[in-house]
Amino acid sequence: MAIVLEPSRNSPALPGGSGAVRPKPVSDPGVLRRPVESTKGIVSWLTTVDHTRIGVMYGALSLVWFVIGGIEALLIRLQLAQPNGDVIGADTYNQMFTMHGTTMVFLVVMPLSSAFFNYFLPLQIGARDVAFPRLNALSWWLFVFGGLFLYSSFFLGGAPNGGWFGYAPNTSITFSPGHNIDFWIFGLQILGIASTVSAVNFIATIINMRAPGMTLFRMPVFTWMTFVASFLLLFAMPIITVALFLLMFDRNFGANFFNPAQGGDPVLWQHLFWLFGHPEVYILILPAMGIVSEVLPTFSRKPLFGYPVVVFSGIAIGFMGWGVWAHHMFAVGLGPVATAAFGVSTMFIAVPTGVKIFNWTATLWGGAIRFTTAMYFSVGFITTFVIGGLSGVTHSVVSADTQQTDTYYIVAHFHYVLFGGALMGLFSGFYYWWPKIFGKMLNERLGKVHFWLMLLGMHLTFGPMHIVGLQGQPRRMYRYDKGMGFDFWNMIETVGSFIIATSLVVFFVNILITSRSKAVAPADPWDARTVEWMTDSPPKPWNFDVVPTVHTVDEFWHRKYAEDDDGSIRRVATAEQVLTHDPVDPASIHMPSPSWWPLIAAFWFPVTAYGVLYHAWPVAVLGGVGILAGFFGWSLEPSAAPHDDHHDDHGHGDDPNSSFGELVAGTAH
Amino acid sequence: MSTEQLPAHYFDEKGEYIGPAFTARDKQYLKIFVILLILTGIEVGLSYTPLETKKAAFALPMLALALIKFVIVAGYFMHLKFDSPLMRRLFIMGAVLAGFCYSAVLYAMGQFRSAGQWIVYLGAAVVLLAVWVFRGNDGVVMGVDHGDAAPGGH
Amino acid sequence: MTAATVDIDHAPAPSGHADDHSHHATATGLSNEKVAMWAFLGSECLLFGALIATYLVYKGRSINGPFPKDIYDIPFTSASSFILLMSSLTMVLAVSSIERNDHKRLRLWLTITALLGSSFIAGQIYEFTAFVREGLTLKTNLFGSSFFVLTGFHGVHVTLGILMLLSLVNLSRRGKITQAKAETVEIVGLYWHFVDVVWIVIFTVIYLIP
Repeated sequence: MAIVLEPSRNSPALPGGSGAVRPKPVSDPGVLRRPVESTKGIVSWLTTVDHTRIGVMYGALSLVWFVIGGIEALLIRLQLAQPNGDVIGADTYNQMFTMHGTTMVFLVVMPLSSAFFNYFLPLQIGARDVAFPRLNALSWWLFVFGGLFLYSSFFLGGAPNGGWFGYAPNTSITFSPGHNIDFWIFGLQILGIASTVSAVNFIATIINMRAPGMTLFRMPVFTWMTFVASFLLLFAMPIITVALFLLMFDRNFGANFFNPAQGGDPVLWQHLFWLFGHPEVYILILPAMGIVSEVLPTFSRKPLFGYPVVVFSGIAIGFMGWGVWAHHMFAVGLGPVATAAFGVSTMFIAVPTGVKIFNWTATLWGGAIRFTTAMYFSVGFITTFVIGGLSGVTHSVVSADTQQTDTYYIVAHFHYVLFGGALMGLFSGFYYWWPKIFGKMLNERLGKVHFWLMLLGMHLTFGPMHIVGLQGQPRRMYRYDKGMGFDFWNMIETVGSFIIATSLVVFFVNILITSRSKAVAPADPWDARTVEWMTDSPPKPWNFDVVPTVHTVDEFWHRKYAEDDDGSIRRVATAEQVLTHDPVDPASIHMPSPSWWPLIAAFWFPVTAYGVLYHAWPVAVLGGVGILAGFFGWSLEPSAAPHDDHHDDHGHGDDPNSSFGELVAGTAH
Repeated sequence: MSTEQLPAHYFDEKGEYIGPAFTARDKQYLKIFVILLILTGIEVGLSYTPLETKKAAFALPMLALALIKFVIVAGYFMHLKFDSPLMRRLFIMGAVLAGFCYSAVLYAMGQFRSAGQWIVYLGAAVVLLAVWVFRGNDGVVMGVDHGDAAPGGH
Repeated sequence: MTAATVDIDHAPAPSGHADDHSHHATATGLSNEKVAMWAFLGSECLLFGALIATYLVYKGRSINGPFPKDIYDIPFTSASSFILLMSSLTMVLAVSSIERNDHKRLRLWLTITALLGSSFIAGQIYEFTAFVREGLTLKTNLFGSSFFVLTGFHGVHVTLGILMLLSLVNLSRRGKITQAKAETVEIVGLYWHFVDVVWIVIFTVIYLIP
């Protein structure tokens, strides 16, 4: 107290004090020297805060997890190929389907979407980076460590085995005495923090970092869907955080939340999980819908039909997604009022989704369609998503749903929307944006082989699941008896799954061939429409030499084409002409500097988790102190390195002078 | 906002601005604090009255008092009443979503079914209260289709 | 002493070292940090909502005691609530001080806020130990589980808030909180008030309504 009341001798320069001496400049280098010189090599990737690099890393690592999750799926299919299969035992089977689901949701589709968010969100709104570049790096490192933590379980006594939904009380210490479930709890907790932080970051970016003229209703639809999905993440993640904490206290500290012997109610877990889980479904699908809404207009050479309607139906999905969660729980017996209400709301949410389908179809109608690979995947998305959407509507009929619950019919449904929907959309994004990211085109012929194999494999794998599901084959069972009528279709499903695997081999071969090819992609290979194409491919670290001023939706298109008096469309400029501008001195553009702190802060999260998991309290405390120290060091470091002067009013990144705000925002949960 | 000539005692002998100990706004904060204190006093007082044994008749005014305090702190201490409408929307979205979802969970899990209609009335009252406190200082911030030049980083 | 003309809400720093570069032009004119903080607080509503809902779902479902009415000490908790409410007042006074460039009072009010917060935490530690002595632990019954986890989560948030306040005091002593960065104080204040607002709900819903 006394120190505070009387300005101490050591700090004569306090503002508001004597004022004779200027305070120490805020560009204090902080505790660690910043690797500002390195633009190549491992250090530059470890310390990068560049959204394009982070996006590429997200994409690459997600594909690795995709292969691993795919191998788990193949093992499941091998086990089920024949009646009474014994490829893997019951316990391994439980681990496989749990990890397959968890991996595909949290380590593949979400981060793949995040890869596209990271790379294209700033480019599409004409920004130089995201609002908080270092928080962005923190999200990325938490994703890395969260995934590694989750998978370390395989070497430390067995992977999680309670399903991706982790229903209580099966996950209690009584029924799951090993550490399997604990790895699931802490792994998802770390990934959840990553998602919350990036949601805050993307929301701030979209609200604040738009280029001049880029009003909300001039934003590309992909950006809009990112916006909606970020809000869903923002509000859904804390719910799973709480549910996982309750489970953690049950398992590790003897609490009774889901302990029926003490009156605990397992239905509470289901409510909390699905209150998160259903918005999560839209978190997975909305980015893919956004990508499709970019690809279809480009290759139909038409504006998106009813742009505001597509945007509003995306927003409507975002809101209505909060009122349907209990349709995952009809078999619980919620009582007639709740059941009826959730049945009706589930029927209603099909409306905005259907509106989007009609808008996409109407975009194709009368367009000068070019069937590129990206277009194949987008059209494939529409068709398979319609099938998945319709089988989803059948779940809203409660009496029918009671029959379908926990059968392969459900498995068929959600694979149609998540594999046939979300992943098809994301692959469309890969083919569409590859030349933007790497400056090279993926091979179109191989791409089409990839598409057809994937489509065929998908329908062979998941189509028959509708049939065996309605015939009564239960999910999550590692065996079925001969003569139940399941034999034939299960064999077909397994064959289909290997066709999918083959299609992915084609995809990876395509990447390999492309990376070795010397051919450079043209600046505007697809005759594209949106702002991300109005710069080099790949973009410079500062994205745009001159930040574009936006006048309309499809800004790039309108700079290339004009309408004649008779209504015909005429080309007025080439892409190269649009991209031409007066030379800009790169030194006049100031970007945030690389930093070690996101990596350091993220590193201590799994340490803390191991400490709590093994009840090794010193380790947990060490981890906790490490996290706090990491954020404290972070808060002392300005976002731009000392030699930068602060003429960074081009809308880059965080305020170099209030990095403490980042600390505050970074200590999420 | 308001610009005025400052009295001499706002400056020390060297001419450094030190300002008043409390500004008019600080006094307003103090008033708000007193109001919050009185509301808390009513709450604690009520819990010692015989009303306490009546379930809904006690719970509803108590909830109402808590929510009024909630809105006052958010509106004045957190400046939501004076800040950009965007901040209001961000926070209200979370608060309303939480209220809606968790009420539904409580209902579905069989708590407070008898008090259901009263909770609906209370909810409506709170929404009206929030609208009243958070009115004022509106205006389009997000620049939705307002001509060519949105305000933006140059 | 000059006859200065000073904007009451944004008095300029007379010694002229206000940082001219602290306000970036954003598309909305709002700072990134503040938008992020409000978004984060919206998210926190669902976090605490889930914990409060858990408590309420299990209200009256504990099989064995001690039950809330056996154990709550309303006068004591009322005093704690008063302390936390008071800390919200001192927090706004801190923000108000830095906005008129009064660094001494900034540190004074921040320190008082941190002390009040610490008193609240001390009270909570006392309450927890008293409850444990009376036989209520996390393991005892549903009430114990949901009570300790809910109030414990709140306590952790208060503790983080205290750390932020102390960091602010430290930064201010090193001259790093200029008037132009008053918003940093305001943003920490938002977090602090939010923690207070959550306690307003907890106090009424958990303690006062039987």
